[in-house]
Amino acid sequence: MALIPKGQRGMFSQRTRLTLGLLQYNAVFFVLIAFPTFYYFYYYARPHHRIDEALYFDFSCLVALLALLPGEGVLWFNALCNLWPPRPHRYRNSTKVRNFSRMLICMASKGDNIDVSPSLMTSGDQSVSWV
Amino acid sequence: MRGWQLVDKRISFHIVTEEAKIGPFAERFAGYEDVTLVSVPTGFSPRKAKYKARALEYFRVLSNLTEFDWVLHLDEETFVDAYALEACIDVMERSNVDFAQGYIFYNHHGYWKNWLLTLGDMVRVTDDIGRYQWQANCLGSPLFGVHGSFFLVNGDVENVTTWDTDNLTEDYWFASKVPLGCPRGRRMTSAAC
Repeated sequence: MALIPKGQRGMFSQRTRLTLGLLQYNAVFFVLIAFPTFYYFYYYARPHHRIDEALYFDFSCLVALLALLPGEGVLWFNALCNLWPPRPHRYRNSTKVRNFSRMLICMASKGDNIDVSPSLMTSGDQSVSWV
Repeated sequence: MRGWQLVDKRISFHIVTEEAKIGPFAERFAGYEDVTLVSVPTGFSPRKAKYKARALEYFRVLSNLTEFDWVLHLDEETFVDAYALEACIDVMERSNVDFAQGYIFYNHHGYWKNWLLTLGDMVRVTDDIGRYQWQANCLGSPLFGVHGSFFLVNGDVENVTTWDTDNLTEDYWFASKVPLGCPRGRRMTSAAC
């Protein structure tokens, strides 16, 4: 896991990058999960069964739709949320000054992975972006 | 000098783990005098906290946090860079919030290389740049909870709230308890992206 390194930040604005990313995530979810599911139920599964089972498959389609709605709903809710500007470094120009004495980076580890945060260990050169 | 000290000399790095598992860490970071290894004693038994909450509670007590201290909580696999730390410092010095949440790009490394994992992590990233940033920047309160990683908290808030909980999702518990105990009200922001 990592934050986007500096070298990639200049390509798009912060907002553009986030919006594109969110649209990409939604599109991939729809193409790979939601659309194939509906395709299966509407165009493949249903015609292969008798008329008297049609009602059952209508019900199945409804269930599938309801099952997908929460997931897709959250995704599009996220898309709406993204309309709110993230405003990174929003406080940089603030006139408020609040001193701090220590900033402790606390990395709690279960001990299973001792190769913790090599990004912080490898270089003192910020231009390398530590990753 | 490590990278984080180039950003600000007041930043220190601590790895907190169980006493029984400190050995491999000591070997791994033998040459890193500016990395503090904190082992949670086996005998440390807070009133409720277990597992990670217990480790965080021990670190809180050990660190003698004040209102002028801030703790950036990370998971062990999370990377941070100078940009993220600078954004945290902006929050600490120039805002009036008590805690902040940053974005995590879970599938940043090897993007599409492991396509199944990339797909699986998409929802988490979407959450981060969607509703989590909205609740932080618009609502200013943790309506949907917080992540335990890339979580910036003021020391005074930690002291008031503590990590002494038997809730296994200690990060969500912490976020839900802050509004009740926080001395300066419930204020939250998005730290960085």
